[in-house]
Amino acid sequence: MIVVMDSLYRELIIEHWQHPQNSGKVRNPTFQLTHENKYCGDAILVSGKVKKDKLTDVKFIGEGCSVSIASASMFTEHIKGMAVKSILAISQKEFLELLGIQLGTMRLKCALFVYEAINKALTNVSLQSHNISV
Amino acid sequence: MNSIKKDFAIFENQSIKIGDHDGRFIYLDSAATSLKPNAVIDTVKFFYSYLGAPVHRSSYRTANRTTEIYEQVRKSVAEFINAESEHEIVFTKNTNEAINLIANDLGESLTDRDVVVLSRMEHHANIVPWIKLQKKIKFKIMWLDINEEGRLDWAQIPNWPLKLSNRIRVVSLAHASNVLGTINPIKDIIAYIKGLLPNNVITFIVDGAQAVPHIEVDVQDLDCGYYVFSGHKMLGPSGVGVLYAKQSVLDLTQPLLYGSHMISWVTEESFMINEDESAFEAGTPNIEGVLGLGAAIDYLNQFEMGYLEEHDTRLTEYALKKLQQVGGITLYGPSTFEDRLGIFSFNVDGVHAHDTAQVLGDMGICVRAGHHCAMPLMDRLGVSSTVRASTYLYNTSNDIDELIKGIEEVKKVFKK
Repeated sequence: MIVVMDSLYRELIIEHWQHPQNSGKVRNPTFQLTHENKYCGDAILVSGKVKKDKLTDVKFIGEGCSVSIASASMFTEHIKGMAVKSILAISQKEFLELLGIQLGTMRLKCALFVYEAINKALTNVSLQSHNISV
Repeated sequence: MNSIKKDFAIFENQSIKIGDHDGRFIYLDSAATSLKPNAVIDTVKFFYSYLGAPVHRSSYRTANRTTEIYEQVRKSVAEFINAESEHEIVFTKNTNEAINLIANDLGESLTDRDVVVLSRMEHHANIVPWIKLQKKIKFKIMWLDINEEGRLDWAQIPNWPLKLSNRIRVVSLAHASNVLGTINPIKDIIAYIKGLLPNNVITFIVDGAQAVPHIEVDVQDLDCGYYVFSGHKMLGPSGVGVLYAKQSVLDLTQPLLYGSHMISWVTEESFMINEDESAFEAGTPNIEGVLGLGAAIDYLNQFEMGYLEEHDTRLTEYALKKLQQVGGITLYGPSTFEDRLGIFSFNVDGVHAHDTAQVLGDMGICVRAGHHCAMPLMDRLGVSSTVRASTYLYNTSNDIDELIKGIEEVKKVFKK
């Protein structure tokens, strides 16, 4: 049985999809990363600034379905201003709770797309700041 | 419910409202897998309830009976595609496995001077085994292009440089596209290439996964070396497919799997494989799958000749007309119903295919979204994915009307 998207949350998704927050590219970013999912043809470029271990700005340019765009919009809103360490500590479960949308197994990867991209980017940042080359 | 739907228990079972399922069930995903009629489900159950025995091994009553029915299905399959004999029929897992078997065999004789012809509308099952082989052997792959109508542009063949076409050794093409619905004129293409290159020894392979469920296939008339298809798209259970090989071709083909049943004798040093089709069926086969496939063929055979094709054509014509009238969508594939299956790939403009399929799915309309295992074709069409609605004998014009309403709902939800 497919888990359907609750219509209440669908409105929220459509709203973020139509008017995504933090859309674009950060000027003079301290990090940027392209994350691709060839399987669905989705791609996201995340860029941001980290100052004193804090994510002071983050933006994304995304191509994908409404769920992936809306998730990117909501997640970047949430993490902006947070310490890198705290962002990396957000579990998948917490991330999904944060979005507050119910998704079937096939659509989970759409939502998790931005989560993976941010995690990858900030893990690099965090490793670099500790002079660990990757 | 129409009379054909009554033969499929799933329609009644899915009409029961339970939880957040409102009892709507519009199944338009038959190009992925077909639903199964009660006769098939009963046969699978019958096998385990009454027979339960292995094939080709033991000699007690139920074992003999199981072997008889299993071999009877081989005859039914042979008749269904007009093979010359049942000894040209090998049961495989599916189309994909059958193509791997063929590619594995050709891998022994192809060289880096040879050319393999594929088309841009192939399913990954008829692409990946060849690319895998090409990495080792370095032969050339020539891609038959499609035209704007989504039909094979085979008029380009004579324009190929002679030094390449003279080296064509393998031509492997889909009988019908799983994305565009196009039915390819395989008989004409094979005859044309044979006429153009009379001195080449060419192996012609036809991927019939989408065609066999819908159109009458006559492998002798097509004059191909191999014809492969899956049972689960033609009302049979999953996990059983068919490899047809012309006897003279099968005699020279090597098995993919080695082990039990396929051998005549084994010593500690050596073995000898069987000389008939059993050489390709190592291990205990999918007995219930084969029996179920037999029931599926019996079910399809009960309809008058031409009835199903006529139903297909009418529904395709109706759906095309309706989909062409809906604004705000891009429809791929032939715009006319001739030589076309009821497979409709489209995108609602500005909406990702997965979003469209999700909204349709929430409405009980079962369609598929994605690349449909045809990524090179997606590249050719310039899209990353499409929504695909596909029909079969149980679908009616009402199902198409529901799809159209669903598309209107998608546009409303995404404010398009």
